[in-house]
Amino acid sequence: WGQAQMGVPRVPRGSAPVTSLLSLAVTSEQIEHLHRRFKQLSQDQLTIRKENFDSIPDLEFNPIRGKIVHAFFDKRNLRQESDGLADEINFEDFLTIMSYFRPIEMNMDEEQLDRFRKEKLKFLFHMYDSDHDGKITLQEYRNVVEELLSGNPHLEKESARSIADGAMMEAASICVGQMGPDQVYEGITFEDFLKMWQGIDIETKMHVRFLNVDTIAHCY
Amino acid sequence: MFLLLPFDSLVVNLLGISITVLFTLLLVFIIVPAIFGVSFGIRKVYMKTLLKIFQWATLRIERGAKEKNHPLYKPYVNGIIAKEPTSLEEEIKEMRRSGSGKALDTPEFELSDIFYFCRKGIETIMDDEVTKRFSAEELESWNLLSRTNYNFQYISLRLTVLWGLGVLIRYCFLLPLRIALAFTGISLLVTGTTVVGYLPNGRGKDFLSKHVHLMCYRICVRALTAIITYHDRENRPRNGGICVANHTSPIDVIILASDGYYAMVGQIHGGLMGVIQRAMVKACPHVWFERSEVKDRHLVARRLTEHVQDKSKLPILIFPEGTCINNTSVMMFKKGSFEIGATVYPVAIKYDPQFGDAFWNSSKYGMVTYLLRMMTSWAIVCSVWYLPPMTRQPEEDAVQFANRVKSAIARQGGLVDLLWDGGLKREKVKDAFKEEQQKLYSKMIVGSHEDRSRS
Repeated sequence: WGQAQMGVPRVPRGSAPVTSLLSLAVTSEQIEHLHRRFKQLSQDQLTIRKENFDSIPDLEFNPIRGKIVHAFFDKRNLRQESDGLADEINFEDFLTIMSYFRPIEMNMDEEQLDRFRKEKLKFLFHMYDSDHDGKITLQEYRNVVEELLSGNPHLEKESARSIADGAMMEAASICVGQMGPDQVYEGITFEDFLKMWQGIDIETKMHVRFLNVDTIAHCY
Repeated sequence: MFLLLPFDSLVVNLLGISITVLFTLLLVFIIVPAIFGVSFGIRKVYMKTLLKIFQWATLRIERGAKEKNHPLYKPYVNGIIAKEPTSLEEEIKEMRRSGSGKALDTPEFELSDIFYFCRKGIETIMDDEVTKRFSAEELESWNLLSRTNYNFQYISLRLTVLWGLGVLIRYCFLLPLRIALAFTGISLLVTGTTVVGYLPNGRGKDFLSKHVHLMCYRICVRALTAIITYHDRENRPRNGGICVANHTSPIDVIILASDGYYAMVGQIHGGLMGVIQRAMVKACPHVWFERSEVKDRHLVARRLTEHVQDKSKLPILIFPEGTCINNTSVMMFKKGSFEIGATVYPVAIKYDPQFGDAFWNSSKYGMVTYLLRMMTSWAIVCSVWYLPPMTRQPEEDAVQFANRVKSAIARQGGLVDLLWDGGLKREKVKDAFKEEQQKLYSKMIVGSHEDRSRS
């Protein structure tokens, strides 16, 4: 698709999986909408920084706002070879992140569906795993729970911690089964993470659908 | 004079004659009808002609674009993504049900809980309810103004010529005419009200002041070529009431005040506005506040109450949104004017954006630039609906009453009723709103946790 006339960059420089993910039924119209939104967020600059997300009032509602914004700059999500955080992202990167939320297509085969699902779950995994070591440790789990429950001023830190600990033990029992008394559960790896999401059709829920827009003349 | 060449004196004579003719026409066709409140119907004919031209122009664009195989796009009005209508509770319950089935009767934190917030966050990043409301509504057909046409592309010769002709007419003919009228209107207002101010208080003074105000507002209406349709005029505000309306631009005041008698409320400004305000208050009581007094809510409320309780004073005109919105929606009404306890007369104002965009984006344009833009548009066409009066019921508080009035206005004007605070244009979300979602979620988790630890 590379619609050069709209100033959208052509095929991203990433590897083959990127192209296949993005080339599935994202129309040029939708890309144009996203491009307009990008320009609005970046205030007509070529890149977006973390501060630009402050201009979205609705996002203040969200308890895990920090993690969501962080996810946009996470190099693992941007499919870059290096690790860590990017300072700013361009439109191509913006589209890459948005592509994790595309709805499934009717004509996908088993293998494509499976890969699609893994991609989406990987995005969620990266949200939990903030130190990028490939494991969700107890501390990281606690962080997420605390953020989600942070809106309640009456909740003591201790309660939040005990909730997180309880949930972590539950996770350990699913993944590793019965542990010995001196066995230490290091953390949830991605494979374990996948196991926990079994049965939940994440690929049918983790998407944002575009409304159908008709086309008429516009002096553009 | 005899030193000038005959040619020069001829030019000067011609100039003199044409200016005289222009002003006579002005007087006869515009100012005199304004004084007496009659209308020749010239503006309606003008509007119909313009509409026909716009339709033709749009057809030409469509045809031109089809010939060249350009992609055609319709600007979105309701947002670009379909937002899921399910609530927090429903979604989390569903996720848990489909996941580990055993978690059904003992709800606690699950890994999948993060998912709802994650998706909502991405939805708002893609498309935001609030920021859309603050830029000018996008049009479906082109109205021959290049300002509504962000990337003007040459489509056809005829259209460009038409557009050029439009520019000529608007800037060289309409603009000077309108400026002359506005000048006349304002100076008449200032001198008229000052003169009336010298009269002794009584019915004569009231009568004269009302009519001086009315006449000058009518002249200003013609200065903007505003074509206004009033509906349900039997519901017009009466003395001792408060008139509330949705706010799109400073012109709203002129539009409403040219059809009724109102007392204005506002802050005293410096400069020309200040002169006008001080003159107006000599003729009849308006409620003007000093800058320092505006912050004191009790003082404001007290003065408004005093004004409203005096039945001989005119109804107050207030815009409770506090700022200009782009006329596609109505934002949160500030509750101050609804606490006073007077009868509220709601008014809905809806502008037709086809002829000129009346929205004042105060962060983008200053007042003078805005007025110039208004005076170089084709016309300002709007509809005004007077809604039946409302009073506060005993079981509702000021905020609920304000929301009730707001819904009535939004419904009548065909605007979207939003809960958002118009002040968001400049400020950030108040912390109290932020915590609603977080509280709801934590209540769900902690409530169940406490139940379990107790058992």
